[in-house]
Amino acid sequence: MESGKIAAAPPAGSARLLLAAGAALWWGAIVAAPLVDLDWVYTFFSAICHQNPDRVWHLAGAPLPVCVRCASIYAGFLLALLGRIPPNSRFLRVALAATLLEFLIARAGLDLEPARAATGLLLGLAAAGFVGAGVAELLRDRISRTFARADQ
Amino acid sequence: MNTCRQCGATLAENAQYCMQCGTAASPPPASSAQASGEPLVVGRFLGPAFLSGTVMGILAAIPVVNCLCCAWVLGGGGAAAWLVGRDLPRGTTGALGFGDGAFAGVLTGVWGAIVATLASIPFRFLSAEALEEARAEIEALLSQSPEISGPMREMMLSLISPDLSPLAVLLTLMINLLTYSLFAMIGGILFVAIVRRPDRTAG
Repeated sequence: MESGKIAAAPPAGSARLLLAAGAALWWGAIVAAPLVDLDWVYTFFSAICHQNPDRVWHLAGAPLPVCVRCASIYAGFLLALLGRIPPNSRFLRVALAATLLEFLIARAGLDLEPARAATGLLLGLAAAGFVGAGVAELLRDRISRTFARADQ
Repeated sequence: MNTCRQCGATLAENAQYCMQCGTAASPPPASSAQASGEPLVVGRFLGPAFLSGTVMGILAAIPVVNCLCCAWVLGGGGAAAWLVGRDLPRGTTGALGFGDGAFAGVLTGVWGAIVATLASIPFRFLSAEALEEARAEIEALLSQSPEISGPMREMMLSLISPDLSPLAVLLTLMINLLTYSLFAMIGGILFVAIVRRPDRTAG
């Protein structure tokens, strides 16, 4: 077997579609915010991102509402869902370790934007399959059973 | 002949996943529903979610400390999943399923959002001077954007006003509920993914 492969159910039909639609909407809002001045999007993302102007990409002269690392993670997440990349625990561990290492190196003084983007992209690619499996299980174990009991 | 437990489609011999719906050909060995056929009872999640959500909410509300994007929220979900797994009897269920991690994270995120919103109120008063400066800058920017007016303008200014309004608290709570529950859920799932041992029978 492929080392590190987890016997997680890949996101089953509806859960995968739901996630992919949500991720596309999420990424679409990030890109649209600077293009059409969606101020509420900046307010929304301020809850989960520092939005430091020195650490964000700019589009059409305006900053994205999330930092380079967050934008890269979301892009990787969306790409993995669209490409149906299966969950792999070894890939996830490597991506997480790379992100932590990059963070520590940046704190030590070598803060490179491409490194933030690359490790963020890797983390998003590695995480999506597991999040899909988790959402599928959550829907099956909690939501579907709750409704099934209510029908009885 | 094997059939998919989810959609009933016929599976090829040695198939790992159903080609119709993507469900694993055999149930995930450490899934929450696998050991007993039923997911863990909700009560097992409440204590860990309360504890993790409280710590996470306070840390996420402290200025400067909360600079790590959503790291505290992800960590809160992961911590809740760890606490739930720690209480499970060894050798029975053994490990959490991804659904369990997700559920622990969602509960943690909901409670953490409430705590963070409440905890941010005193910090708002303490940083009143900085907020006044930020509000003045935003007002200057808004004056150059006449298309932003009415309720939208009032909402944006109320969010950064040191004068606490019920509207600002409500908006903050709604945003926190949505984002924290989502990201803590992801934290719970990723924690399970990282600590769970790879299944040697799969693949």
